[in-house]
Order: sequence, then structure tokens, then C-alpha cells
Amino acid sequence: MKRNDMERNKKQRDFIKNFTEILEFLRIIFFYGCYTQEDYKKQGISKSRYYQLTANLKSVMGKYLTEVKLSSGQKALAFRKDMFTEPHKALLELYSIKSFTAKHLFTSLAIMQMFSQEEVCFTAADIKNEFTQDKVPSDRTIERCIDHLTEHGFLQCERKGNKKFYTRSSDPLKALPESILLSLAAAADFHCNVIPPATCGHYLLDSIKRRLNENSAPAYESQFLFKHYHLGQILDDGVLWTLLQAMDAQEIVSFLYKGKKEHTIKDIYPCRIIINEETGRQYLFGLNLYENRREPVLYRIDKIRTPEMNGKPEKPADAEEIQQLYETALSHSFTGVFCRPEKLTEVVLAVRKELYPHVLQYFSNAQYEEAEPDWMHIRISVNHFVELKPWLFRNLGEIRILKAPEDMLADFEQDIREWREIYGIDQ
Amino acid sequence: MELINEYKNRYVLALSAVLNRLSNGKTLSKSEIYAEIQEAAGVEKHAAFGADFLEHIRSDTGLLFDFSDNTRVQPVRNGKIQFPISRGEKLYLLMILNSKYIPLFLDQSEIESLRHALEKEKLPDMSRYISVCPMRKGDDITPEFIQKFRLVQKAIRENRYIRYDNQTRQGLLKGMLSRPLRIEFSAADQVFRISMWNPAEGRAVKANLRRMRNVQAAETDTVQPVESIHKILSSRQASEPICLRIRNRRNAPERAALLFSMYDTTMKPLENGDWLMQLRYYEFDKQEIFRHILSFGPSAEVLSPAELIEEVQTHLKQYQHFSVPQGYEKG
Repeated sequence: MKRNDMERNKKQRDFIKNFTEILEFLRIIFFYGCYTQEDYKKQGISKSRYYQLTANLKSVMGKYLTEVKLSSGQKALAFRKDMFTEPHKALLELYSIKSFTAKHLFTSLAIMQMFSQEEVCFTAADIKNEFTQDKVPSDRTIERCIDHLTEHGFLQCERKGNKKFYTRSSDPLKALPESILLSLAAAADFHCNVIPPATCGHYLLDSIKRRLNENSAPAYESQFLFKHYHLGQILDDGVLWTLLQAMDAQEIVSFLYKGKKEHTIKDIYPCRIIINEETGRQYLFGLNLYENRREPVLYRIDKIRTPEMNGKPEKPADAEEIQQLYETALSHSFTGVFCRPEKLTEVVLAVRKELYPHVLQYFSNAQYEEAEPDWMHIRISVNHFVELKPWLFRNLGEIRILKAPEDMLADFEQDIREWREIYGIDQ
Repeated sequence: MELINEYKNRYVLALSAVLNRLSNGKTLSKSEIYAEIQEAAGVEKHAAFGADFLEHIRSDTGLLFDFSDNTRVQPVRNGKIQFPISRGEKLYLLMILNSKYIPLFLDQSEIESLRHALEKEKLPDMSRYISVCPMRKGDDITPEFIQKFRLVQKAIRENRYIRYDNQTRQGLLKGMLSRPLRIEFSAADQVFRISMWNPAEGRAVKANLRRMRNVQAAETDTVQPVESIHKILSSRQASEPICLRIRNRRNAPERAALLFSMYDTTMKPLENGDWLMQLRYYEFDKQEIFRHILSFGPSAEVLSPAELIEEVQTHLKQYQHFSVPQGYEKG
């Protein structure tokens, strides 16, 4: 291989190894679609690195990426988005070339060949003995491959005395009739747009499609269109996956948090993932155990980087405690994103009668106060007035604020004044 | 366990397929193997990504291939590589089986049988760690709803028309005839809507599945064929995009980028820190986008089209200033 080719290959291998950098790059393309090479430079990405990443991404993602020409004449990368361009596929395209150690994968494939019969059972020593050629993988490589295959659930391990016996894991899709496979494909297709992590959903859908293909069944074609699916969530699937595993293992986590400043957060006992379907934001609800505190905290998942599981805490929280804390912290939040139970805000609104049923759906703690012609009065407690604002802005003609803390009300009225000024409406 | 399952890597899948064909007795030469893997993995698009992998095949000395005769390559082992679904996929399958929407797709006996197949692995139900906060309670998944959903699914699959009554704001529309094209789900509202082609009106229509009554399969030989949904929808794209100035306050640019991420948008920074957002959309999404824009209050200013500016002005004129009726005190 020529030296130039070797260098290019190395750069491309680095590209598919360093997923953290790629995801940051994609995040900007996805949300803004207007960053030029100079904008990236301000983000710390050099000119040459920008062109490398652009060329590599274009070659992998093909039709999902498009180059737009800005009014300044400069070029920027943007994501193609329409109802038929599923962005998961773009990311899965990227995942499907993720770097690997070829030797490791070849060894894993050879091991899986040994398990072609479902009922066969081997010890690690049996597996090692199968590799009899001169250039065999080392015992350490074989052990790591076995562990990896077991961790991913392709092999299952049963301990008998001091020995571990491995068999191929069962496959719930095996022997499913075509009609159920098709229904399950539709269920997976639907749910991976509803339940995160979508990446797992798409892997499952991919497996079901392969089974259909093996059975020469008709290919599955999607019947769905999705609205309000916030496409950017898939960029956070890796973080979400680690957090879910930490919740299940009841381990504390630490992570980098990209707030106004980037800082490390430690000793968080993760309890729940909260998804606000209106804004598309995902949050981590947890307990801050730092220095023996046990206070509820909320973090945006799209700002979390490199989460790590750090083992069990001295005093883990039980399910009941978590549920109670969760309910107390969020019981007065109708979007589920504020966490200030000690600072409840009480608001009384007059709402038009037609809006009243909708209000009851929105605010589960709304209390009926009284009625006047065409208007109903309701009392609501919320974690913060800010949470109400988007809803109030949307329903200006249908509501009147009767009671709210004075500073918040003044702030709201100021917003309305500014808003009217923008559109040239006399006060 | 990592989220990314490297056994879904396109090269691994291509290599597994070749090995399985050799195990089934297929004769392949060394060059044919390369060509097959390159083709299956789409290597020609970005050759260097797979170069490392192909190099390993070339130098394989008895791990997977026996290259002693390059015209008739033999597999070292005769056995089909069968990856069961991974633990991550099983966890996800369990989440699906516990979802409130699963009865739309599978019968109870099928759900139980799949649950039973997963039971002995003692997998945790990860969905209990996820709380979804939709804007509305959404559709109730009743037996009647399930029946309608499946009938529509079947009609889409078989390209068939349906007859139904539709309860609209204008009243009950009886005996409608349409061909369902797609089932649309809004996660924010938790509502299912059906996009359909209405031959009488010669246009695409949308109806809430909840409001559709007496849904039945219709005879198909009386109606004309339908254009593809892609074509129908592309004809409904708004000619002029919405232009917004997003003010650099209260995190509005970032909120807007996320909230409108489902649409075809581009954002451009302005010199004063504000952002210019251009949003292309389908006509039928207009009202929804309008409500989203309103939720930003003064942080999002509509610059065009003119009719949308007028709509915001009308909306603002409707606001009745803070007024304190008897019995309430300010603050």
C-alpha cells in the first residue's frame, strides 16, 4: 500500500473510531445547518479537520447530507429532513461502519460458527482447542471475544462448579410465523419512534427484516409517518443507554455537563428519564448524593457527555423513595421539567369555557374556583411560572390571568408589550 | 454493554453471509469473495473504510477461510453463523411488549408467548425508568380502536379503499370513501391520524382515527388508482418558507433549533446575536407550526410570509389585559 493511501486510511479509521467528535459535529449540522468552515473553527475544529470530517460524512451518509449555499456565498452542511428521510438510518449508516478490531470480529465469527447448532455446549477451553492453526488468536483474544459475545447476549453462560459452560442464547424471533414477524416489524417500526433508545429499536427492526428475508417473506414497508418526533434525540442514545443501565444496576454516575460552563458532575444516583414530548427535550431525574445530600436534581440529557457508572452508593434509594421524591418534585409540573417543590407558584386563571376541558387535561391539579358568563376560573399550582409562559402565549385570546406573583406578572406583561411593539400594535 | 452493536457492522453482515453460503456448499473463488463483500458492504462508495477489513480477509490464515485453492475457497468450519437478537434488542422487545400501544399490533396470546420466550433471561423492564410527558392524554386504546387501526393497516398493506363516517367540527360526514396512505402518530398529542387519498375531492385528507366510525373495507374496482404518497405530499409543500427572527434571549435560539428540528430548517446567525430561521413545511402543518411560533412569545418574530404576520397580529389583539375581578387581589 502506498504511503499516501496508508495515511488516508489511518485518518478514516480515526474518523470512525472517534464517535464523540463526530456526534458533536453532526449535532451542529442537524440543528443549525448553516455552520461554515469558519464557524467550526470557532468551535475548535481546524480547517483541515473540517474538510476531512465533511468528506468522510458525505461518503458514509450520502443522501442524508446536503450542502447548502448561504447568502454569503459560503457553503454549509445541512441534514435532509422530510417525512420520508428517517434520520435514524443516517446515524445507523454511521454506526454500521464503526471501527472495530478486525481480528476480534473474525475470532468472534469463528466462535459463533462453532455454535451453529443451538444445543451445543462448550467450555472456554473447548473453544480455545478449536483454533489449531499456526496463526491462531491468543487465549486472551479468545477469552475477550467470548466475554463480549456473552455481554451482548449472543452466548449464555452457565456455571457448574468451577466451570463455565457456554451455549448460544435463545432467539425469541426464531420460528415465529411470517404474519407475526410482519406485525412485530410494524410494532418495532412504530415504537422506535416512540420509546428511546431508538437505536435499539432499529437494531430490532433490522433483525426482524432479516428473518423475513431469510424466510423469503414479503419485505416490510413502513406504514407510519411521525409528527413531533424530535429527531435530535437519537444523537443522545449512547448517553441515555448508559444512564438506563446505571438505573438498573442501581449505580451512581458521573459525567461532563455542558452547561454555561463545562464541568464534571459526580455522585448522581439516576432515577428516571423524563421526556417532554412538546419540546423534545430529555432529562435525567436523579438524586444528588454528593457529601451525603439526597436532593432531587434534573439535568438535560443533550448536555451530558461521557457518563460513567461508578458503583453502588453506600445507601441506595429504594423504588418507593424514588417514586415519592419524583412525585413530590414534579407533581406540580405539567411538562415534567421543573424540579422546585419548595417554591410552588399559585396562579388563578380565567379561561374560556371552550378551553376548559383542554385545561383540565393539561393541568392535573387544576381546581375549579367559580364561573362568570363564558369564563371558568381555575387555580393551578406550578413549580415555576416560566413553565406556564409558552402555554399562555399560545392561548392569549382564551385566558386572563387573575392572580399570580407580582414580579412574574409584571414580567409577563412586559413580554406582551414587547411582542406588540414588534408587530406595531398600539398598546 | 455498549449501545452500538458491532455485529450489525455492514462488513460483518456481508462476511457472515458469504461464510454461510460457503457452508451451504456454494463454490466461490477468492476474488469472488472480495467482490461479494465489497458489493454487500457498499465498499466502493468509501473504499478505505473497508480496506482494513478486506486486508484481514486477504491475510486470513485459517481462521475463517481455507485459501489453499484460490479458485475454490473452503470455509474452515462448516456451520451456519446465526446471531440471535442481542441483549439490547431483547430489552427493547420487552419494552415494546409492555407498551400501551402493543395491542394495536399483536393479540394477547402473541404478546404472552413472546413474553414467555424472554422470561427465562430475567430481563429488566427498562421502560419503568422512562416517563413520557405528552401534551395531552391522547387516544384510548380500546378494542374498537384496535379494530379500526388494524383495518386501516390492512388497507394500506393491500392498497385498498375504506368507507367510514367521520365526526368533524362541521358534523358527521357519512359514507366517506378514501384510500389510507399512512398512519401518522403525534407523540406530543399521543394521537393517531390517518393520511388518506379522497378520490371525490381529488386531494389528500387527514382524519383522527378516534373520530372515524363504521370503518369498513370498500370495493376497489370502482375507484381510480392513487399517486404515490411522496408525490401527493410534495404537491402540498408550501411555496414560501416561513422566516423567523429568533432573539438571543432566554435560550430561544437553542429551543427553536430543537423544537423545529422535525421540519426542514436552516438557521443563520445575525450580527447582534439573534438568529434567522428558515422553515420549509407542508401546508397541513401550518397551524401547528404557528402555535409553536406563538409559544416563543416575543422571542420569535415572523418576518414572512405576510399572512402569518397578520395572524400573529390578530392573536395579539385578542389579549385582554390583566384584570382583577371582585374577590381576587393582585399578587
